[in-house]
Amino acid sequence: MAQAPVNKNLNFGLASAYLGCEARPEHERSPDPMKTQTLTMRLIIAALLIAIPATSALATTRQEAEEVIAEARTQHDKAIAAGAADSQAEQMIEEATALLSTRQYTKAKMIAYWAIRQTEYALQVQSGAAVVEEDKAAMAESLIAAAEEARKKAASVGGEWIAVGDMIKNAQTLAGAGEFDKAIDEANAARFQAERGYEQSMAEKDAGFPQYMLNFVK
Amino acid sequence: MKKILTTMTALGVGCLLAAPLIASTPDEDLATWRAYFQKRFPQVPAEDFANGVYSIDPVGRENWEAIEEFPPYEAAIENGEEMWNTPFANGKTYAECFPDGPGVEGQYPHWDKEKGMVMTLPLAINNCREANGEKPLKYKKGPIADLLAYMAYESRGQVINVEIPADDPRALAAYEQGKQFYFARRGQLNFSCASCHVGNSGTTLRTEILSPALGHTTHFPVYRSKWGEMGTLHRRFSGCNKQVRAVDFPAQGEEYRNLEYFMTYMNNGMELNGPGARK
Repeated sequence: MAQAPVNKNLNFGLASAYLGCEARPEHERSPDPMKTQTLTMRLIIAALLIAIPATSALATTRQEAEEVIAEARTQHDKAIAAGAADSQAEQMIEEATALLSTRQYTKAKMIAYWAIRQTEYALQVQSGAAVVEEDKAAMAESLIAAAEEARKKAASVGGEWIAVGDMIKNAQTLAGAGEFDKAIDEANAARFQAERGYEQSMAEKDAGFPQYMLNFVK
Repeated sequence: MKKILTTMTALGVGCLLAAPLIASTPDEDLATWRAYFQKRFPQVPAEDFANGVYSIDPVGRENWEAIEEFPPYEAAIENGEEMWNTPFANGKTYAECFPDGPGVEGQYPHWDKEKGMVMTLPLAINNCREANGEKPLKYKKGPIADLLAYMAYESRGQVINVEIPADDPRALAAYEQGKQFYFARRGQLNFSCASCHVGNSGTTLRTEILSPALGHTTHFPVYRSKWGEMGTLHRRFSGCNKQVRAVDFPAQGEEYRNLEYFMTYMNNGMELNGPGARK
């Protein structure tokens, strides 16, 4: 029975990779490309052994999301009892809860976390532990309103960009948590994008067959 | 000053009157559209553009032909046939609304003079349902895609012949709006539909070959591997708009219906070959 030719080097290389031992004697060794390949393969396996469990450890579980939502509810109930309830926080808790059925646990956890931040800030303001920077709060509120107006203007001509709505929502969340500087930045960025969207739509209102197309077929 | 104002006004009125003469007619648009793609892809036989990107991607075509041996849209066709044959609560069926039978895709979209709007097949299906006391179906996926798959299958081989009636200027206006939508840049990426599917058709976006716009509406609804399910033409429109980071428009809203009207007109003379399978 004919036997298939065996590539001995390849066999040694594979054996080394899987068994972790060196099959050839020391004096026979030479700078072998297979050796480099073996080392690379070992490194990849080691990296995967670390990276794969680490990835799953980073994912949010339903239980984790539920825990943060529960904490947000507890804080919110406390705020209601203290007369410092924040309607935005309540909406966010509802939004986070609704996300559980869609298995978006990381997003739910993040929204619940921000609801906690909002409630904590409302309680701090009420107890006097935090002082509202009235000028910044007013500026944030006015810029958020301006951004929303710009968004509506862009939407009225079909030119709204996709991130603008979320940016306005972020600005509202930040302002609700007392982070007025960040809220102002976010609102300004949202208004900038909304205005560019409107300008783009106006500039394109007479769009038609482009010149390159007409030239190409001449 | 008065003289300047008078001259400017006269010029403005002159331009307005001349505009319709300068603008191209739908027939001229169609000729330009065809000539562009046939010159850009001279190796592709005209009728093969109905196969979308597979008309210009030989490797993708091999895979697609293998997929078509056991088409992933088969179950949708079966579901759709069942829907077609199942009576509504009032005992009537879709056949009452579509007396010519399920193979009527070639009649859509068309200009509905009475309603003053572009009528698409999905909209006609929901009109039928509502007229028979049923809830309308959602427009992007699910049962409507199944029913459309069955109707598209029954319509295979029909030749697209979208008309823009000359006796109703609103029809031409809808076509022009669809054309403007197609070529208008939008979204944060500042892309139009044409940026990818006209100017860059045949080039690659990462590893994907961009399909030529000619033939885009022939094969819907489609089973897209990316979706893992069937989807309608307006679902695809919506996805494209979101990809360029623009807020999308409602499926079966005026914007997408007019867009469909324009795009389907550009495919006049091509055969319907839906439902399709795409990556």
